Amino acid sequence: MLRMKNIRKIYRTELVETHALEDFSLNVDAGEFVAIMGPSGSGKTTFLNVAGLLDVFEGGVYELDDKDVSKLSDREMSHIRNQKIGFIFQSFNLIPDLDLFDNVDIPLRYRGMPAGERKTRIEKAAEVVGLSSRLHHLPSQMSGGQQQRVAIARVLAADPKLILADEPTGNLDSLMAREIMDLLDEINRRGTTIVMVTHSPECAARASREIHLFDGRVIDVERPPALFGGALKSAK
Amino acid sequence: MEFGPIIRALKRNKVRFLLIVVQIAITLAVVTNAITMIRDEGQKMLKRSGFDDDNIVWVRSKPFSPAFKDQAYRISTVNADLRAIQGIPGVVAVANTNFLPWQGGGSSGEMAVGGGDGSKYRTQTYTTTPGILDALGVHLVSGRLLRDTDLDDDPNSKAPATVIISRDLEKLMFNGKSAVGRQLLDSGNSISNIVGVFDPFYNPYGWPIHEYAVMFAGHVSRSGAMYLVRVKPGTMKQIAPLIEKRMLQANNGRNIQMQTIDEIKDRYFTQGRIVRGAMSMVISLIVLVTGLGIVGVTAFSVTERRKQIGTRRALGATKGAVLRYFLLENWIVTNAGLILGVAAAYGLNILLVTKTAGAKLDWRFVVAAVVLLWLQGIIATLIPAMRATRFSPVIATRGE
Repeated sequence: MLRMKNIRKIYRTELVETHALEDFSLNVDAGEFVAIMGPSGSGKTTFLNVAGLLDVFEGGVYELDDKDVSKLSDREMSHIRNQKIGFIFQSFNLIPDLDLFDNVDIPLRYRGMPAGERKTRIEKAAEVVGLSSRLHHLPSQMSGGQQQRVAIARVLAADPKLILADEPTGNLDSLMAREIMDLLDEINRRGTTIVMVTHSPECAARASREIHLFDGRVIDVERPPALFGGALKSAK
Repeated sequence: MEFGPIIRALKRNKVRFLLIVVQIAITLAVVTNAITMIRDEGQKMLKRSGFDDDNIVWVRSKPFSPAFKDQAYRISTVNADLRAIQGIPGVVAVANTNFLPWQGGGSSGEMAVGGGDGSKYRTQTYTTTPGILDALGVHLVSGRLLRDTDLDDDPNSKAPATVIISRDLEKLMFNGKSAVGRQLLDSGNSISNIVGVFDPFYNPYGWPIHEYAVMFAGHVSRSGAMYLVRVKPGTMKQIAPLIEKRMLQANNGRNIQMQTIDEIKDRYFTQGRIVRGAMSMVISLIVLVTGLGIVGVTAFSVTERRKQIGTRRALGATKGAVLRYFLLENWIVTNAGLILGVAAAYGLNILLVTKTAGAKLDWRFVVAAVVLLWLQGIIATLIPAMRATRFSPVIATRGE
C-alpha cells in the first residue's frame, strides 16, 4: 500500500538546515494497522505530511497503492488525497460554520459525486459513528469525542484505501479515546489500511505493528541509538 | 458548485457579510442616482434657450438721484434710455424688462383661460417694453408684436393688460387652438388680452415651467430700470462701453451695471459644475471604499480560515477549488447586495423626484452600475482569494 525508500525531507531557513527525514524507508502492506511512535522532533508529523502528499520531499521514491507519487503536480496530489487518502487530525479539523452533514460532504463534493450518492454515504457513515441524530448539528454543539467521530465519518464516507491519523485521541479523555480506537479497529477490520501517529502506548498497542522514529529515521527498538540507551526499548 | 454549504455558512456569519451586502446596496443606490444627477445637470448645460445669448447684454440703471422717486421721471428716463441705446450703431434692439435669462428663476404666477373651465396653469410672468422679441432674437409666430400704445404703467388701472405668450404655453392652455384674441385671468381675476405668440422660449426655473412665459406690456423702473440689449455679432466689446456712456450722458444721477448673458449663463452653471464635480467625487469615493471593504472582508476571511483552507486542501481541494470557493462566496454576497441595491436605487430616486424635483432614474444606469459593481466584486475578491490558493495543505496538520 505504502512504500517509501530513502526519502529525504529538509526544512531550510536562512541560517539552518533541518533534516526532518533522512534516508527514510518504510513499507506498509494493505490492510495493516501501523502505529508510528517517537519523541517530539523525531519526524512523525513530517512523515505524515509526506505520506499524505501534503508536503513535497527532496529525494527518494514513494509509491502509494502501487503508483509512484514522487513527482506529481499539485493538482495530481490533490486528486490522490481526495480519492485514496483519509485524514484524521488531532484537533478534528472540522469546518465550524458547517454542520455534520456538510462537513462529511466536503471530500465527496471534491470528488464530483452525485447528490443522491453523497447523501446515502453521509447518512451511512453517520450511522456507523453513532451520530445519525446529529446530522444538522454544528461542531460547536458537539463534544470533542463526537467531533472526532464526525471526522471519522468524513473518512468513512469517502472510503479511502489509506487512513492517516495524526494523534487521533490526543485531545480526548480516556473513555472517548477508547471509543475512537474501537472505531479505528472496526474500520481496519473491514480492510482499510491505517497509519497512526501517536504518543500513547495504549493506542499504539491496538495497532498490528509499531514503528519507532528517531531523528528522521526508522529505528530498531531492540537496538536503540546509543544516546538514549535502552529508553525506547523500555517504553515498548 | 458549493452553493448550498456556502449559503448555509454565510447564514451563520450574518453580521460580517450583511455589512458588505448593505455597503454594496448603498453604493448602487448612490452611484445610480449620482450618475442621473450628473447626466441631468449635463443636459441642462446643453439646453439652448433659443435666445441670441452670445450677443445680448443686460444693463441695469441703479439710481441715486432723488428725482427717480417720481414715477413719471423714471418712465421718461427709461424712454430716453431706450432711444439713446437704440441710436447706437450696431445695436439691433433694446427692451426695458425685468426678464433676465439664465438665473434659474424669475417671477411666476397662475393663469387661467378667460371663459375657460377655470384650470390654472403656472407660468413665468414678466413685464417688458415692445422691443423684447428682437432683443432676445426670438420670433413672433402669430398675432402681433407689443406696441408703445399697449404700455400700461398705472398700478390701479382696471383696463385689461396686453400680453404676448410663448408658444409652449399656448399649446398647454389652449389645446392647440390659437391664443391670439383670447384672454388670461390671473389669481386676482385681472384680465389680460393676448395679442401675440412667440417662439422659442426656454428659461430654467425652480418649477417645471421652463418653456412657459407671459410678457406683459409695461415699463420696469421701480427699483432701477433694467434693459436687454442685443447687438450685431462680434460688436459686443465695442458697443458695451458706448451703452454706459450714452446712458450716463442722458442721466448721470445713477450708476450703470452691465453683464453679458454669457457671463450670467456661466454663473448659473457654476452650481451645476459643482454638483457634477461633487457627484463624481462621491461616486469615485464610494466605489473605492466598497472595493476596499470587499478586499478587507475577504482578506480577513482568508486569514481567519487559514486552517480551514489547509483542511480543505488535505481533503482534496485543488487550488482552483479554493479560488472558486471564495469567488462564489463573494458572488453570492455581491448579488444579494445588488438585488437590495436596485430596490434602494429606485426608492432613493422616488424620494429625489418627489422631494427635490430630481430626474427619473434611467434603467441603463442601473444595469451599468450593477455590471460595474459585479466586476468590482470579482476583482476585489481575486487578490485575497489568490493568496488563499497559495496556502499549503500542510497547515492542516499544524497546531492552532
